Amino acid sequence: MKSIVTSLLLFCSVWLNGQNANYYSDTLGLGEVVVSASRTEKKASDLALPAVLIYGKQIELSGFTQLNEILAEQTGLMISEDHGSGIQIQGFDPEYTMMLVDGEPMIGRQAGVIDLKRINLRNVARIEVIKGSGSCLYGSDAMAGVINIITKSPGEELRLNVFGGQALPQRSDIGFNIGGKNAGLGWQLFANYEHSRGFDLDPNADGIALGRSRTGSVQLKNYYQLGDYKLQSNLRYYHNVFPGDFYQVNEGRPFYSASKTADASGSISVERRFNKGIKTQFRLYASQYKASAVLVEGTSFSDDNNLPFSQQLLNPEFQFDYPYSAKSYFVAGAGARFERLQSANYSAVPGMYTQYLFAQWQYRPWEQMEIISGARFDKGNWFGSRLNPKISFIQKWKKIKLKGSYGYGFKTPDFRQLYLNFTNTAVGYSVLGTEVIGREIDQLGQSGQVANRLAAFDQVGNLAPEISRSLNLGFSLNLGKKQILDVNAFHNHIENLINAVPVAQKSNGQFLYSYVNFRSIVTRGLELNYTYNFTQNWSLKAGGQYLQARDNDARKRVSAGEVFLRENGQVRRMQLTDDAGLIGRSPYAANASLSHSLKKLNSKIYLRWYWRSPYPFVDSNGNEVADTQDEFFPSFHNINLSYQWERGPVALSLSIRNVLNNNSLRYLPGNPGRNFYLSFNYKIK
Amino acid sequence: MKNRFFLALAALVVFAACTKEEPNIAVPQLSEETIQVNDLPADTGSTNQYTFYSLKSQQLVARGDSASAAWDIAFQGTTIRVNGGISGPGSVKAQMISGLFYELVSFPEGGYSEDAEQALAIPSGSGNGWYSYNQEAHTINAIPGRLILLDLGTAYGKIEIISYYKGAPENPTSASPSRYYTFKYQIVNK
Repeated sequence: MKSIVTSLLLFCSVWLNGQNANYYSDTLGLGEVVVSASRTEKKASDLALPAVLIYGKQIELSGFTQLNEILAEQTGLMISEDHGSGIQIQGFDPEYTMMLVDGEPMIGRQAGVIDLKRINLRNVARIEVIKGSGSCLYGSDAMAGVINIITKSPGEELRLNVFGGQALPQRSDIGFNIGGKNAGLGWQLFANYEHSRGFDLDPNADGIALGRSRTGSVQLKNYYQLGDYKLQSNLRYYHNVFPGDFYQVNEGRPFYSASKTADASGSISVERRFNKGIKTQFRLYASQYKASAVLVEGTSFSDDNNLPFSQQLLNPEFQFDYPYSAKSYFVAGAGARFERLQSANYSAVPGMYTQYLFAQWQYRPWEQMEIISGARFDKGNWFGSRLNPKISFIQKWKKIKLKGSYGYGFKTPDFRQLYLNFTNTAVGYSVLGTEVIGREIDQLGQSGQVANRLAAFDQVGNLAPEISRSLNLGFSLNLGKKQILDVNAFHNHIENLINAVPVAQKSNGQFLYSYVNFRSIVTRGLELNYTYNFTQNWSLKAGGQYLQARDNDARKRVSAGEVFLRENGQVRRMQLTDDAGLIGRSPYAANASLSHSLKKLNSKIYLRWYWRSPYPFVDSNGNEVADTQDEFFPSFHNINLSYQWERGPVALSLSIRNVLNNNSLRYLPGNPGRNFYLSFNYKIK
Repeated sequence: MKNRFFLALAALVVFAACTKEEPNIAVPQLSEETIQVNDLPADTGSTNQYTFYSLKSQQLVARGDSASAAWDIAFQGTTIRVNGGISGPGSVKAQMISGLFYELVSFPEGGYSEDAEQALAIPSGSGNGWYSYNQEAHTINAIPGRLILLDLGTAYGKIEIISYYKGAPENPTSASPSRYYTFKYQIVNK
C-alpha cells in the first residue's frame, strides 16, 4: 500500500530533497516530516504546492476522533454542515475536493458531499491536503484539491495498540490496531466501535438535537515481498447506524430521521521493480457505498419513506515509473473507472465509464530548481473527452523558496445532475436530472402535475463538464531562530458551473428543478502560515486566509442596476459594495495553536483556536445574490484544549472541545457544545 | 386548479343569480398616497380559496362578490390573480417590472395583460414573478425590486410585495406562519 500512496503522491508533485527539517513538527514530536515516497524520503517543506500535512502524533495529541474536527483547525480548510460534514478549500464547495483513503477515491457523495465523519482518526498515520487544481493528475472532482488519508501501515515488528475513550455527555469508543511482519508477510488490522447517545440542546423542546448512533470500522492491510515483486492488499469497511429519533427544529414540529450507511472497499496491487529504478505497478480498486435514510416530518412514517441508495466503483490502473537521468523522472499510466448507482430517488441510471491516460515529467534543470509538468486525458461515455495539463515549480535558495503551479481541472456532470428523479414529499418540489427530465415532465404533464413550463426549460440540454483554471504562487521564508513564514496566493476561475434552476411550475404551486451550465465564478485569496519554535518545549503555529469568492454573472447584473435589496424595510439598488461573495464563504479566517511539552511530568498541552469571519448563510431576500442584507452566519471563534500524559506504553489524554460552548441548532447542527473527552491508548512494541 | 377556480366562480355566479343580488359597483377612490396592507391572509388553511382585495376601496372583498368587478386583486398561496380574463369579470390588467417603488412615476402605457389560460398576468414560479423560492431554507421571499403594475382602466397602480410571512419577519424560516401578504401600493389617475 505504501507504494500506491507513493506513486500517487508523485503525481502530486511531491518532489523533495533532504534539507531543512520542519522545526515545528520535530519539536512537537510529531514524527517524521516525510511524505512517503518510493525512491527517497521527501521533505514536506519542499513541496511545490500549497499543502496541509497533519501527522499521527498531532492527531493523537488533539484528542479528536473524527476527520472534520481536525481539518477545521487548519489554515484554509473550512467545514460546512450540509448533508454531512464537507470540506471547503480555496472557496470551493465540498463536491470539488477529491477524497482518497490510501490513495484510493472514496465514493458515496450525498448532494456532492462526502461526509468527513466517515473517517475515524484512530487509524490515521497522516493526512495530506493538496490545494488547487494545479496539483495532481487526478480526474474529475479534484478542482479544489485532494485530501489523502494515509492509514497506519505494518512495521517490521509486532505492534499492538488498544485504545478507548469516553466523551461527556454522549459518546464512547473502543478499538485496537495490531500489526507486524511474519515470514515476509506484513499485516495490519484495525477495528473500532463507537457509540453515541446523541444530545439535546433544549430539553423543553420536542425532539433532540442529534440522535443516537453506532459506528464501526475495520481495516486490514497486507503486503508480501517476493523478489522484485511486491503484492499488497487493503480492505476497509465502515458501518454507521442512526436507529431513529425525533429531531428538534428551529420552529415547528420535530422530524423523524433514521439512517444506515455502509462503505466497503478493497484494493490489490502488484508492483514490480526493474533495475535503474524502473518500476511498474498494476492496481485494482473496488468500492461500494450503501445508504438508506428515513426522513419524515411529524410523527407518522412508514417504510415507504425509506430511501435506499447504493453506488459502486471499479477502478483498474496501470503505472510506469522511469527515472531517465538524474535530472529527469517520468511517470505514465492508464486506467479506467466503471461506476454505477441505484437509488429510489433516481431513474434507472446507466453505468458511467471513463478511460484515462496520464503522464508526468519531473525535471531538475539545476540543483535548486524543479519543474513538474504533466497532463491527464479523460474520455467518458457521458461527457466526451478532456485534456487537463498542469505545471508546477519550486526554486530553492538558502533562506527562501519560490513555488508556483498552474493547472486545469474539470468536473463531469454527476449522477445527480443527470439522473436524479426526486420529489420532496414534505414540501412538494421536484428535482429532475437533465437526462430524465424530457420523459418525466411529459408524464407529469399527462397526470396533470405540471401547471406550466418556464422559459428556463428550453435551456435544459446536454450538460458540459465544469472547468477550472487554477494558479498558485507563493514563497516560504526562513526567518531564522526556527521561524518559518509561508505565503501563498491563489486564483481559481471556474466556468460552466452546473446549477439547479426552476424549469416548470407544478400544479401544487411548487417547482420542478433541473440543471443547466450557466455561471462562472472566481475565488482568489491569500494564505499565510507562520511557525515559531521558541524553545525545545514551546511551539507556536498561526495561520490565516483571506478569500474573495465572486459570482461574475451576479456582479454583472449588479453593475447594470438590475439587482435590488431590502435594507431597514426599504428597497434599494444593490451596489457592488453590497456584494457578500458566495453563500458559505468567510472572507477572513485565522487559526493559532500553542503546544507545550512538560518533560518532567511526561505531559503535553496543546491549545488551539480558530476563527471565521461572518459569512452569508442564506439568500434570505431571494435576489439570487449573496449581499450584505442576507442572513449571515455570525463571527465564530472556537477553542479546543487537550492534555496528554504518556509514560511507557500508556497514554492518557483529556480534551475539552469547544471550550467556548458554541451551540446553535440553526448554525451548528450536530455540535453538542462544550464537551469533554477522556481517552486512553496502550501501545506495546 | 384552474378548473376548480372556474367551478368556484360558476358556483358563485349561480349563487349570486339565485339571490338576485345587485353587483356591487365599486366607486374608485383614487389616491396618490401609498397604502400598506399588513398580513393579508391568502388561503392560510390551504383550502384553495382566494382572498379578494379592492385596491380602490382599500378593503377585503367578500368571497360572495368574487364574480363581480368589486375586487382588483386576489391572493391564494403564492398565486396572485387580477380581476379580468379567466379570473374575473373585471378588466384589470397587470405586468411585472424590475425597479424601485418610489422611482416609478410614469407608468408604461402598454405591456399589461389579463389573466389567461396559458399564463397569469403576474407569472407564477420562483424568480419569474414576485417571489423566489429558497431551496436551502425552503422559504418564499419577495424579490426586492420586483413591482406589479396594474392597469385599472381609469388609473394605474403599482404594488410592492414586502413579505409572505406573518408579521413580515426579516429572516423567515420554513416554519414561520406563511401565506400572509404584506404589501404596499399606490394608485395614480391616468
